[in-house]
Amino acid sequence: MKEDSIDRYLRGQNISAVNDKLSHAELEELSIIREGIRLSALQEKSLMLKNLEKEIASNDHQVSSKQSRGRIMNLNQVMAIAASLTLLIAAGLWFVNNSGSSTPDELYASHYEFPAALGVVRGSEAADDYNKALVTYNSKKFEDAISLLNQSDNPRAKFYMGISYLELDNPSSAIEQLTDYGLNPIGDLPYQYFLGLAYLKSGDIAQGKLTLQKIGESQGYWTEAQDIINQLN
Amino acid sequence: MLQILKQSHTWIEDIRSDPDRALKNIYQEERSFCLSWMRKHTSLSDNDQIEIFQSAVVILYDNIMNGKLTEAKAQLSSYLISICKNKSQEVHRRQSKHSGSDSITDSIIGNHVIDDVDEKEVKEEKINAVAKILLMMGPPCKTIIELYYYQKMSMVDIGQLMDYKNVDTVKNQKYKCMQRLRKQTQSI
Repeated sequence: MKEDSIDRYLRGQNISAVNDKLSHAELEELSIIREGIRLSALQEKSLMLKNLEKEIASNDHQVSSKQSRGRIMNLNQVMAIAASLTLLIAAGLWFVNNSGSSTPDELYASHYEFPAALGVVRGSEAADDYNKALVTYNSKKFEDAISLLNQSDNPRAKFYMGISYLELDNPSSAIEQLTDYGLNPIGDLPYQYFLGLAYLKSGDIAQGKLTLQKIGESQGYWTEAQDIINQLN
Repeated sequence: MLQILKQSHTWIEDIRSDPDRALKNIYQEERSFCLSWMRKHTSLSDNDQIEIFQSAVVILYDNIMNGKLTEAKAQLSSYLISICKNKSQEVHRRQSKHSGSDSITDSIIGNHVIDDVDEKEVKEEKINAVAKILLMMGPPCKTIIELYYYQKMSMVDIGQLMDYKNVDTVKNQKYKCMQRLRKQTQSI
């Protein structure tokens, strides 16, 4: 019965009737969840349109380069074969250099977003060291966070150390920590996605792509990983 | 008039029944017109214009999904232009204060009247956290939750779309996903 009320509230159906059946705290929580679901759905569509825009821009680019090559060929009718070959080679090289839509650095910049640690208890309740380390991590004091996380036995600490190193522009240490976490992944932290990004940042495109390809369709960040892979192809 | 209504019915229905395909079509068909309009009427950069157009298409989608737009009283192009116009003015205002353009989160929060700035920030943070949890959960949970609660699809339709054996399987899966989401949301 209550589940029905929750469903109706989240689907925006007959909200005034549902309001009486749920407590104020429940309504607050559900309102956040409803907006979060909405945001998530809109972010996905936004990403889809951004990718479409890249395709359109890339096609426009190819069409204009074809047109310019066409104009060059008309002029070449009166030019010697050697000169036209030189032009074709130059055009080919230009196309090769410009056909890639994004560099690994650009892909990293457009796809990396700081993953805040969830479930962190703040203030005096932050009793254990791991929790304190995560509070520091969420405050983006990454050097302090690394030294605190380094003292923790919690296996998840390696994931957050990896991210901290990424934030400090140290991809090789990030790779080390995220790989370590991946040997014994506790929980469902998306280490493969960030490990893939760390490889891209370090310039190892092949390994980055390989790591991102390991993310299954049922895992988080699959869409983002596919987007990067497509742009690397 | 009848023709316009018929057309509007078609694109609203198209977005409801197959959002990805419909939004891609709209984006490709209306892009040049909207960008030309912005080039003519605003002094925004090309990148800002593209971002605004993208936001306009996403807002159009959101307005249809949340029931704000059930019947178009204007043509699709005019509707998109009116959103682009409002967004352009917002970006101009922001740029005159400080640099930075609009985001999807701002668009969503901006639709709600929240008096207290701190309260707005806290709420915004929490909403972002829920969206991140969903992103981390990934399919099938993210998909089922969005299809059921945002797109308001029926369990039967979700079952068919996602190749589930029967409606009960979808219901069970949705229940488990929601429990997971609520549990994780309580810790933010």
